[in-house]
This record gives sequence, structure tokens and C-alpha cells, in this order.
Amino acid sequence: MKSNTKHTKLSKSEKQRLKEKTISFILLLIICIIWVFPFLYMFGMSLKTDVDIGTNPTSIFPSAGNWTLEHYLGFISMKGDRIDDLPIWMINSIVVTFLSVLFTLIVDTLASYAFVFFKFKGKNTIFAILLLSMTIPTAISMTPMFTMYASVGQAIEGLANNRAYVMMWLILPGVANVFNLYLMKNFFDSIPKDIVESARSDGASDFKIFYKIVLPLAKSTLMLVSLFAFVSSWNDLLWPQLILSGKDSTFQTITVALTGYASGDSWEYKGIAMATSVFALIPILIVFIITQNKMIDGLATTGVKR
Amino acid sequence: MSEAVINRKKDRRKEILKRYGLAIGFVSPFVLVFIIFTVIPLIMGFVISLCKYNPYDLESTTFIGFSNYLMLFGNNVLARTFWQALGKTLIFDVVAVPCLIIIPLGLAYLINMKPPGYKIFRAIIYLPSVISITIVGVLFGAIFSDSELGLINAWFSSENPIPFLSDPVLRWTVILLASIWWQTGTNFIILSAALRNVPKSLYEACEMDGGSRLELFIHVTLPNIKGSLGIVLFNTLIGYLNLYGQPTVLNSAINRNNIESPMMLIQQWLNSFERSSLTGLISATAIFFGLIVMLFTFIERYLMKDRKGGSKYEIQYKAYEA
Repeated sequence: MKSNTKHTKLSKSEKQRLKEKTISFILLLIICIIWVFPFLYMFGMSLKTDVDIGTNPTSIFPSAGNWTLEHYLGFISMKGDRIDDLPIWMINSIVVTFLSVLFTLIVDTLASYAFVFFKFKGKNTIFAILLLSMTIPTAISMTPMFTMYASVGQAIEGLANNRAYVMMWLILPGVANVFNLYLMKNFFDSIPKDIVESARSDGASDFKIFYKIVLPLAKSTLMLVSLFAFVSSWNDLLWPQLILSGKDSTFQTITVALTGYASGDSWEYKGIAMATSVFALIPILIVFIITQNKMIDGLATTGVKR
Repeated sequence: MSEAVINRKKDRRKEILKRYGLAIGFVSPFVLVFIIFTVIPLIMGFVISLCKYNPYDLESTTFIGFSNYLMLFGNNVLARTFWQALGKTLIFDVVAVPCLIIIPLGLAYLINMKPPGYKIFRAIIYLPSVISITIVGVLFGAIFSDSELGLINAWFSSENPIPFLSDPVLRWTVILLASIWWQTGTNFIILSAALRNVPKSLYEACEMDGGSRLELFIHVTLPNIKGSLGIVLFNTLIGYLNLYGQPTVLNSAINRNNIESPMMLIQQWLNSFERSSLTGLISATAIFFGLIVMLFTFIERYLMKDRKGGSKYEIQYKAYEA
């Protein structure tokens, strides 16, 4: 009797589980269709002719005979009406993002190595202060940083419009990132100290230990840190907008430049706006497709642990 | 003491000193950047907020004490704009922050049932989180455009187009929709990982007691994902108090220059060359606003702090195990 009820209960719960899976599949399918839709719309609009954008607003893809690449081809010619700066914006974004990731990796890994494998006075105090600094709101640090940027730029002749100076202010403020330091320190802490100690007693220099032993072990954490740095640098809007205001349009990054197209009004430029968005999306999309599992796992573990 | 011992001691000292130097060498790039771009601005910001200050005219700097802060409580353009912007942001946050917790939690719950293809679903839901707000602005600005060419108007109301981006309430609704689409992903990933980590045995224990689905959720799921829920709430709260990107990119001609949030106020006033003589005042505003943000985060931390004990079922289960 007892075993009988248990048996029916089991198949009942199995049935239940199947029902759950079906319902969640259907709901998620609907949601994902909605989620993908804006991307499809963007891509479809970027392939419409200007005439088609005006006459065929209800369909997301161009009508027959109105497929065109003109919004994309416009970028290749450096002279055009409005868009001729796009290649420069892309290059600016790529340079700023690349250098941001590079400096973040160098500065943050070196520091976390020191925090884990060296003994020095006040180590824990310094780290505690750094952790505490994470609670400082952006607003507080942003204003004086901009003031410093403006004052120094004003004080030294020609500096305000110096490309290297502006780039430096775009890149460096994000480099000493305490959260990255914390992530990497956590990982380095999991490396057995014996490995480093024995390498040291074999006469290996700390620099050698750092890049021959520790860095290869930390590959996946480094990957994660660079991914987050890449995405946040490429997408940053508030700070670059502040730094680049009043500067020549050739200084702008693609994310900042796109704000000019974001308004709901200007329909004569919608095709170009969409094509520019596609361009701005491509690097992110490539990185995302290659690394999405790593990114998602990394986010999940850092989010859960913190 | 023999000579060898002294030598060894000397060597050791040298070694320690060398290592000390190396340690400083390894930390110094970080500390240097940190001092230049965090510590100095922090001190400078506070000093500036006590002065009449113009970054383009340093000689005019005069110390005026706390009167910049008092301006925020007076009757002037800045105070009015600031409090209005703060009010708008807080009202929006009251709606947006719960949406950005509950919707990701619901989706995480669905994903956790592991339907076929759930990894693809997960990637698609996460995807918008990695794109920039300006792309979101271009997309939602076109879909919800005031013009009859906007997709929603073309589909449903091309005769008399709805002013999605001009009407204040509709515009905030569009901003909410855009925010949900854009930022559900991150919270969703964190929460689905948290759900996955809830021990199955706890569910079984509760099921044995005849707990319903809702009871299961309240007594088992929620207490066990509390930590992650706290992180998600913390991040979302800070992010949405600092609201900037969404109202900046989602606008129409009539509200393009409206100031809708404190961050927009600080950004726009800093940006305008004519207001550069007000930098001290803006600095005070930024610090005051920063303190409000910190206050909110402390309240959040306090409320989400782990109380001793745990849920009813957890205690029972632990007692049973022991």
C-alpha cells in the first residue's frame, strides 16, 4: 500500500516536472522573441532605403526592391554629408577601450600580486581603505576630477586640445579598479603559497614568478576582468561625454557620438543612425558570442560570492 | 657570534629590504593612479565645495565656508532644479527598482526549470546588458517615436500618433521599458545562479511537510537567495539613484534639455562653460547628492543584514540533521 502510493506520487511529480518545463519553455520563447526584436528592427532599418523608411514604417525589413547597403557604404567614403567621422569614432573607441583593458590588467594584477605574495607593513589597512573607497558615489569623485581636467588643460598652453591629454583622462580614471583588484586578490589567495615560496628559494625573481607562474594560473580571472573592462569602457557615456564636451567631433568615441542620433525625432537620418548602431554593436557582439559562457559564469560566481 | 651567522643575518636583512622595495614597486602603479584619480579629487572636491571656484579663472577663488551647501536649501534655480530632479528620480526608482528585481527573478525561476534550449534563452536575455545605452536610445527612440513613422505608432495609431516621448508620463514609461530590456540580464544571471545553489534537500523537506508552491518559494527559496538578492538590490539601487543615460538619450524636441535626475544636473551644469564660475556650488551639490546615495545604500545594507536564525524550515531541517 505504502509503496504503491509512493509510486504514483513519483510519476505524478514527473508529470508535474514535464508540465513545468513546457510552460517555462513557452514563456521564455515569447520573452526571447520580444528581447531579440529590437535588434532585428535595427538591422532591418539599416538596410532600408531612405524612401522605404518613410513609406513602409510597419514592416521591420525593407520592402522588395528597397534593400540597400547605402547607409553602410557611406562610411567607407571619408567625405559625405554628416557621417564622414564614423571611422575616426570607431578608431577612438577601439584605442581607448584597448588601452583601458591593457592598463587595467597591468596595474591591477601587479597590485594584487603584491597584496597576496609580499609581506609589508600596513598591507591589510591599505586594502581595507581601498575596499571602503568602493562606497564613494560616482557623483562625488566625478566633479573634482572634471575640474582638475579643466584646470590643468587651461593652465598649460595647447593641452586642452591635445589628443593624448584627452585620451589620458578617458582611460586612466577607470584603471585602478578596486573591484577588479578584489576579484584578482581572491583568486591569487587560492594559489598555494608554497609554489611561490619554492620558486623564490630556487632563485627565481618575483617578476619571473609573476609572469611565468601566477599569471598563467590566473588566466580565466584575467579573462573575466578584461571582459568587464572592455564592455564598461566601450559603453561608457557619462564620463566621456563630460570630457569630450566642446571638443572637436573627431575626438569622440562611438558611444558618445551616437547620442546625436538617439532622439526620436530626426527621421531623415534614421537609416544612418541604425547603421552606425550596428557598427557600434559589432565589437561587443563578437566578444559576447565568443565568450558568453565565460562572461555569464563569471558574473554568476562573482555576484553570488560577493 | 660567528662571522657566518652575522653574514647570514645581513643577507636576510638585505633580502627583506629588497622584497620590501619590490612590493612597493608592484603596488605603486595602482596606488599612484588611485591617489591621483580618487584621493586627490576627493579632497579637492570638498575644498572646492567650500569656495567660490572657477577652473578657468583660478585667481578668483575665494573661501566662503558652507554657504554653497546652504544654497541647496534656499530659493534659487539650482535648489529648485535639484530637488525637482531628485524627486523625479526617486519616483521613477520606486517603480523601476522593484521591476528590475522581480522580472529578473521570475525569469531566473523559469530558466531554473531547465527547459530545452535554456542556455540559448539565457544568452538572449543577457545580451542587451552588454550594449551601450546610446544604442538602446536609438532603438527605443525609433520604436516609440512620436512620429507616425515610429514602429508602435505605425502599427497601432498612424492616424493620430501617440506622443510617446513628449508626454511626461508616457516618456517615463518608455524609459522604464527600455531600462527593463537593457538591464534585466545582469540581475537575471546572478539570481539564476543563486537559485541553482539552493540545496535540493531543503525543497524536499518542505514538500514532505506538504508545503504549497508559494510556501516553498517564501520559506525555502527566498531565505536561501537572500545574499544574492541583497547584492542585486544594492547594485540596482545605486545604478538607478545615479540615473543618467536613459533620460539623456530618450527624448524628443520639447524635452531635450530637461533635467530629469541629479546626475543629469551635475553633468549639464559642469558641462556648460557659462556656469564655470559656479563650480564650487556644483561640487557642493555633487557631494550632497553623493551623501544621499550613501545613506540609501547604508539603509539597504542594514535592512538586508543577516539576522540570526534563518527561516522556519531551515531551522527545522538543521535540527533534523543534527
